[in-house]
Amino acid sequence: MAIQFFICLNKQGILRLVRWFQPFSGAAPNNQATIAQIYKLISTRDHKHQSNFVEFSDSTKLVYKRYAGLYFLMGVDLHDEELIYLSHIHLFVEVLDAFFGNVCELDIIFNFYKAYMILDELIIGGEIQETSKDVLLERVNYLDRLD
Amino acid sequence: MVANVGHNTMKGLQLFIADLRSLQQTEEQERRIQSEIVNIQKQFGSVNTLNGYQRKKYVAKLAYIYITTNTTKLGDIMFGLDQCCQLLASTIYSEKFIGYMTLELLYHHQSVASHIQDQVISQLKSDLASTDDNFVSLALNFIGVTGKCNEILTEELVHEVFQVLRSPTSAQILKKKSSLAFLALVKNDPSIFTHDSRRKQLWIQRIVSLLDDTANYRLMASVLPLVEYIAREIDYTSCVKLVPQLSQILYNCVVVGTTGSDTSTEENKFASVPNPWLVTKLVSLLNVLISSSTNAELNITSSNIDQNTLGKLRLCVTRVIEIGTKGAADVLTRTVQNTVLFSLINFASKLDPSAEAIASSVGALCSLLASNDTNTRYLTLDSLVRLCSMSGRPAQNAVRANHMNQLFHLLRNERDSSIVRKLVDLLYTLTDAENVQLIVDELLQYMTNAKHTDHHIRSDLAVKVAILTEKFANDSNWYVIVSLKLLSLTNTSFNDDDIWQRLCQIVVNNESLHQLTCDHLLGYLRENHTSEAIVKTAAFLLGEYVNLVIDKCSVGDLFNLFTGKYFTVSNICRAMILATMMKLYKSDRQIGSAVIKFFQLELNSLDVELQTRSFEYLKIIQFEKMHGAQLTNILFSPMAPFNSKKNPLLGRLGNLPFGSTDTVSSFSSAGSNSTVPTPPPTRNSRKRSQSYYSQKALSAHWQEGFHRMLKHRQGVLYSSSLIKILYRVSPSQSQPELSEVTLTYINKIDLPFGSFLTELISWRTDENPAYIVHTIEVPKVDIAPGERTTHKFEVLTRHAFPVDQSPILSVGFKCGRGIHSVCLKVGMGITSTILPMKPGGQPNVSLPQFIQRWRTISDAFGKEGECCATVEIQKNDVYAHVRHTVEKLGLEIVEQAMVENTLFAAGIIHTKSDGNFGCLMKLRCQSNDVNITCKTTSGGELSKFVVDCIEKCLT
Repeated sequence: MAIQFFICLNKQGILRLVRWFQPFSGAAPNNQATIAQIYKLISTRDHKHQSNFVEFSDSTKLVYKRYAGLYFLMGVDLHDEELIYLSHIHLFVEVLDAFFGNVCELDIIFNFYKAYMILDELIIGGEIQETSKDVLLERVNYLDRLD
Repeated sequence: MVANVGHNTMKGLQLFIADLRSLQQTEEQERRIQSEIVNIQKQFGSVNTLNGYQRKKYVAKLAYIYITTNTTKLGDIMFGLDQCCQLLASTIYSEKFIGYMTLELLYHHQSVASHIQDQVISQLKSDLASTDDNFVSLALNFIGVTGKCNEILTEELVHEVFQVLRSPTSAQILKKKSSLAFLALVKNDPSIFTHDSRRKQLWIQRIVSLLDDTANYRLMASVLPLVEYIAREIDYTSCVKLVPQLSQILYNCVVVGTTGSDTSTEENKFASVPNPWLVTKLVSLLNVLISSSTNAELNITSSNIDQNTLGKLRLCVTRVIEIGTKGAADVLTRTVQNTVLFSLINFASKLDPSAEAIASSVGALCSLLASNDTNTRYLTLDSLVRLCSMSGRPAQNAVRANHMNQLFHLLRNERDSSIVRKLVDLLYTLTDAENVQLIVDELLQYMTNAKHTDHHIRSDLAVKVAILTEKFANDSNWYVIVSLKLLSLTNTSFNDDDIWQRLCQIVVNNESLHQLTCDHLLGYLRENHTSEAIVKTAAFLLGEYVNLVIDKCSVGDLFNLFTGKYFTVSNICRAMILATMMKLYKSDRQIGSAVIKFFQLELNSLDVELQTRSFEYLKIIQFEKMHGAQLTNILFSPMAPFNSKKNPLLGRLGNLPFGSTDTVSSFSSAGSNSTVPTPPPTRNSRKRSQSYYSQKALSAHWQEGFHRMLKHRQGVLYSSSLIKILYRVSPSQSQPELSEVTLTYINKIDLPFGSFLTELISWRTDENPAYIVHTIEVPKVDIAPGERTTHKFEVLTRHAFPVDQSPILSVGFKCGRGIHSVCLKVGMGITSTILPMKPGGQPNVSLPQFIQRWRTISDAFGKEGECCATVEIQKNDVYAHVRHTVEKLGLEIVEQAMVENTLFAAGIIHTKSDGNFGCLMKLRCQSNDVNITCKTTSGGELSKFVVDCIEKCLT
């Protein structure tokens, strides 16, 4: 039970954030091809009438959600409970939103290193380490002010 | 000029990003990136040393290039690695951060890791030892992210990370991070844990004790995944004893936290429902620790959890169903409610639920099926599939009784194919002989009507319908009709031979089906559009049984029908038709010229197979015509019955649960292209071996209490400077082979005990164990100074066992800084099942009876089941001591004056499985020696086991 990877893509399939928590054992020969496959799979799904979960390979299912023009998605084990990962994603987006103040894609582009900073406070080694939005915000604001 | 700009603004980086974004053409962007790379390369190579800010900025640009090019430019930015390492060594947080952040992105590439490994590891070591918590955090984050990609990191850093985890002075945030970083490292190489058993125990004790602070849910949430990994992969047995503690936490979170106005558990909650993160982690761990009762040979199941704990867990399930079906105002709350609901319902089947409890779970889930939210419907079905496969018949019946129409309704209207797939799985699981026609009709209906179903679902559906019709058909005609209907619905993209081949096998083997099948096939062939699978079936079966349809359709007409289909089907199917034409020719030579013409035409086919066949068949016909031999009759003799009993389609199922009568294992999982889900995983079967029992090192002076307990019904089992353990054994009057044991633990010192955990270890728990230990009540986790807590369990003796295989009690607790453990044998032997005579009661055995029985046993078994032993006793009055001991054990003294200094004693040994045995004994006391002769009505080793117990009690 752990997150295998975390990816943020925009609607055109351009990578915005990527984090591999374990060596990826997918069908694709490398990570770039995997990301392209994931984009192909996710972008063809009907977002009104289809669930936020889709099986991706023999070992991985994707839990994803689109917020405005950005897809946030996680690869998790097939036996994992999907909903909690959806909550992970939501929490991440909420913290981004509060930190940047009404976050948009541009914030994540220009401040990608801060987005990573937030991600590292939220998830470590593929496991969630903090679930309180307030605690997370306080922490990242503190880190952001450090010289 | 830029000296005091924090890392929140790196102007050069912002400009570069903005620049890139302003360029529309990919080639322009590419050029811009290249020129930037060249620039950075020049900066890094220049003689002027860069300051920290510049270095940070350039490295950040490289990181951006890596991301924005979808990781394709790795080779072009490798030159910056050394500068990254320099940033790591910086004492300014923002510089160190950019260094670590960039390497977190790149380190999983082997080329990167091997290039800078030594520098990174030495920097990590120094940062882990730093007094600045922020630096330690960065190092732990890095290890958490990259730990699983690189084994050398485990070897080099695991001790340092553990040091942060165990240190009582570490800040909470560091403990959380180090727990997960440690997990990442251990996952890499679990042997780091196991190759030193002392270290393993020490580490596990430390880690488990982190769960003690039951008020600190923050830390707990980060430690639980680590404990789960240990339970799953490293040492299941040392985690089992956590079940009561974990259940209590879950109970606090789910039940206590949501009732009343308990504000102290605010942290427990999330959007006014139990904290889903904590609940899912707790349940996930409990799922690993508790096996389902169908795997009873493994470890613990609902039957050996104490009732109190089981009760709490069941209450959690009930409560969550209440919460979950209440409905929620906003999406977030609903998501959280459902998370908790699904998590617990999926776990509930392990708690040996009653039929009503299962029905209530089913009811709660089915009420969610009507939800507008796609995710909810998807997960509900997933959960129902699991429930029906884990809880079997009760769950299936509950769905069949009340919810079938709801499921059919959903099937007709659902638009999400992944939901349909789950639904099909569920319907498949629910099918039995009674509802098979209904369900198969609905599924065929769906295949007929659904317009936008994807190929996978259709093929999955077809396989399932085929299996269900074969398995549950109680009318073979119905089987044929439905199978043909199914084949007629498959489309060209459906390239699957298993189904029609299976049908052909069955039809060939059952003569009664020949006529009906051929009639229907003829009907399908006459339609304009015939699916290829039907054509294949017809080509085979009508070729075989031409004579059965000859009154409805002449051979010539049949030939024309097949020629008509010939050009609409694939080459493989055409090849089959060519063979069928030969069979038709065999039954009616008049069509010879048409057949020859057709074969001649196909000699020009582009397909080698078709060409070859036509050529060969032509030659056969020519040969026959020239020599008049009946070659076709020999070559195309009627099909012999098939002997394949197993449906090949079953292999395609993976291990989807199939009804409740079949075991999952009867399906091979060979066909890996199956798209059906597997049932939820149960823990890898890892039996608790006897070596676990044997390897337990017992505490010093354990024998004292052990002997006492064998002899006396209550007393002190153990006492040290810290702790005292009292015991009381109460055998059940109606069932003497069952004894209830109560242990009382007393804290003798001024410090509280924490993580007080107990474990009872049986010699064997599988393969017909001699006794079964069942916990009734577990002691408290914390014991204040001077306080006591009780621990209750039952021991059921099933058959005789040697006294040195008595259960072991292992107690571990934390006190001050230290961790202590006590390991003792519980004094329960075969003599514990002897029911003592009531004081003042009438003797059961008279002297003549004793003598007569003694003789009877001797006649029956001879010396076989007899046991003799001599025990030396250092006491003044040996006779009195022996007499007292024998009486204490519950044996009855048979008064006699025939033999001096000798005691005659009798008693009944009770066992659950083997029944009761009489036991007779003569004990002769001579100065300091006692000669014991024991006979029992069992010929085996029983008397030896009894004598062993008595010896232990006498000395």
